[in-house]
Amino acid sequence: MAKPTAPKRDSLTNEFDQTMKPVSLWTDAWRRLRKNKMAFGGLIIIVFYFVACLASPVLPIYPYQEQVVSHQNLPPSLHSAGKVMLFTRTAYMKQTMEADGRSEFNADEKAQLEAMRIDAQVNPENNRVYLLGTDNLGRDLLSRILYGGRISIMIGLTGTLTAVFVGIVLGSISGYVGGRLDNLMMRFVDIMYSLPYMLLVIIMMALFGQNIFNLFIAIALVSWLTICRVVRGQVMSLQNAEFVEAARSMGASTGRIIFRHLTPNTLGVIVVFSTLMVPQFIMQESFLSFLGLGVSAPMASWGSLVSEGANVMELYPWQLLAPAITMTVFLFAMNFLGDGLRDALDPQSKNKL
Amino acid sequence: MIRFTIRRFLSLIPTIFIIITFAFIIVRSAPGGPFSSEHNTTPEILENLQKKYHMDESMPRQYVRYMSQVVQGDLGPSFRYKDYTVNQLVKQALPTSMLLGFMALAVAVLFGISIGIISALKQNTWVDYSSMSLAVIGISVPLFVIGPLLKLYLSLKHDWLPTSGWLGERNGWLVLIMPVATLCLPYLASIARLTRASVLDVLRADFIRTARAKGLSEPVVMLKHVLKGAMLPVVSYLGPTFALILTGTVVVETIFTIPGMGRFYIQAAFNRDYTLILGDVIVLSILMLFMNFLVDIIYGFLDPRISYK
Repeated sequence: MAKPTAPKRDSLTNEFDQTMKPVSLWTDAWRRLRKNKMAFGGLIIIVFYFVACLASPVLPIYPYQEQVVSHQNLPPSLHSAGKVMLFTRTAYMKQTMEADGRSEFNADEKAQLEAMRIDAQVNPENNRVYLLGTDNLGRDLLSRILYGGRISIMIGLTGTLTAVFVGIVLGSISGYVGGRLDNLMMRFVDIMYSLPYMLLVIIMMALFGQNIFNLFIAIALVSWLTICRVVRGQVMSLQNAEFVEAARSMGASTGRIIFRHLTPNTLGVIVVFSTLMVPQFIMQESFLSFLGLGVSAPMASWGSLVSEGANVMELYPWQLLAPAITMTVFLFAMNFLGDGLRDALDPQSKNKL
Repeated sequence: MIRFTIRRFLSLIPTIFIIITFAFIIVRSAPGGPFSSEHNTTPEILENLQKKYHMDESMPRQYVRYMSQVVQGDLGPSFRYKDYTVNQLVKQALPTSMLLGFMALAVAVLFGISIGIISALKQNTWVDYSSMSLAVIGISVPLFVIGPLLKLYLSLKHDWLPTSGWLGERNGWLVLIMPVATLCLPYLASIARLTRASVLDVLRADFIRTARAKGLSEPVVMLKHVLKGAMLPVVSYLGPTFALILTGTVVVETIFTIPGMGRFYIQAAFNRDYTLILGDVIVLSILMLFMNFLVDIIYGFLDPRISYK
C-alpha cells in the first residue's frame, strides 16, 4: 500500500498521486470543442471556406470580372457552355413550337440550331464549364461567389469581433461599475442609436473616401450597441453573485473580476448573439455598397450577389440560390461552432467530459 | 428605486437635446443641400428658396431657431414634400409603421420565446436541432428574398392574400398577414436563439435546483423562476429593437408598398431634407430613450439581484 502523500502546493499531483497537467481555459476549451462533433464539423467547414476564398486567385476558375457576352444567364451545369446554350435554346424553341401548334422545327429554327452546334465545337470559348451558372453579364458565378466570400467573410468576422470586443468591454464596465458612469455610457449608446446612420456614412464617404477600410469603420460604428446593452444587463445581474463576492473578498481587482469572472459567465448569450450578427453585417455591407460606400462593381460580395439574384429569382433562380445557399451553409457552420464554443468555454461545465 | 427612476427619467431630457444637436451638425455637414438638383436653378430662385427656409441666416441662428420650434412641438416644413410640415408627415406615417412593427414583434416575441424554451428543454434532440436550424435560416435569408417569395406564392399564384397596400377602404385585415409574417421572421429567429441560450444558462443555476428541491411543481419552476431569469438578455435585446422597428422598416415597407416611416429614411437622407431627417431622429430618439429606460426598470422586476444605487 502506498503511503499517503501530503497534498502538494504546486498541484502537479492530485490526492491520488496521479500527475496532473495544469490546464488553461483555452486548452481545456479546445479539448472539449474537439469532442463536439457538430462544432468540429462547423469548424472544418469554416476553415474550408477560408481556404477556398483566400486561394481563389490561384484556383482554376475564371476571373470574376470576365464577361462572355454570349454566355448570359446560363444555368449551372457540368457540361460545357456551348452544350448548355444549345440545350436551353432547343428547349425554348420546342416551347414556341408547341405553342404554335407545330410538330417540327421550321427551316429557320433548324438553321439556327445547326449554327449553334457548329459554334459550340469551333469556338474555344464555348468549352468553358460553369458549375454554378453565369449571371446576366455572362460572368462565372462560382468565381464571383468565391471572390465575394473574401469580402463578406472579412466583413462578417471583423464586424462581429469588433462588436463583441467593444461590446463586452464597455458593457461589462458599465454594468459592473454602475452609477454615474453607467448612466453616462448608456446615454452615449442611446445617442449612437439615434443619430442618422445613413448621413454619417455619407459624410464619412465624403471626408475619407471610399475604400474597404472605411467600410469596416462604417459597419463597426454601430455594430456594438445592442451587444453592449445585453452584456451590461447580464453583468448587472451577476455582479452580486457568490463567486463574485468570493473573488472580491480575496482581493481581486475590478479588471480581474470583470474579465476573469463575469464575462466568462455571460459568454453563452454573447456567443449566440455574435453569431446572430454575422448575417446582418453581410447584408449591411451590400446595402452600403449599393449606396456607393464599400466595394464597387465588378467586385462582388455575397450580399450584393444575393440582392442581384433576388431581382431575377423567377427567371434565373440559380443566381439567387447559389450565393444564398453558400452563405447559409457558412452561417450554419458559424452557429454550430458558436454553440460548441459556448459549451467549451462554459465555466460551469469545467469538470465535465 | 423611485428616486432612481425619477433621476434616470430626468437624464433623458438633456440626452434628447444632445442627440438633436449632434444630428443637426451631421445633417448640415453632409455634402450637398436640399436645393441642389440636376437641372440648374437660377441664383434668384435659389436665393428666394433659401430665404423661405431661413437658410440664409448663420448656422448658430438657424440652430437656435430650429430648437425653439422643436421645444414648441413644431418640427418645421419639409424641404422636399412641398406644402407638408414634418409634423403632418410623421402623423400620417408613424401609426402605420407602429402598427406593423408592433404586430410583427408581438408575433416574434410570442413564438420566439416559446420555441426557445422548448428547444432548451429538449436540448440536443431533433426538436432542438430542427427548430434551431429553422432559426438559422430565418436569420440568414434576407427579407428582400422572403417578401417577394411569399408574394409570388400566396398572392400571385394562389390569390389568397392581397399583394400589397395597407389597411383602408379596399383592404381588410388580410393585407396585414404577409408584411407581418415577413418582418417578424428574423426577430422571431433571434429571440428563439437568445431564449434558448439563456434558458440553458438559467436551468443550471443554483436557485433552480433550490426551487425544485423545495418541491415546487415543474410549471411553477419554469414560469416563475426559469423564464423570469432567462428573460434578461431577451429584454435587453428587445428594448432598442422595439424602438427601431416601431419607427419604420425600409425593406418590408418598400416590398409591400406600405405608407410608413421607412421610406423617409433613405429619401430624406438622399434629398438632404434637413427637417424631415431631424424629425425622424427626434421620433426615433424619444422612442429609443423611453424603451431603454423601460428596460432598465424591467430589469429590477425580473431579477431581484439587480439593484440600483
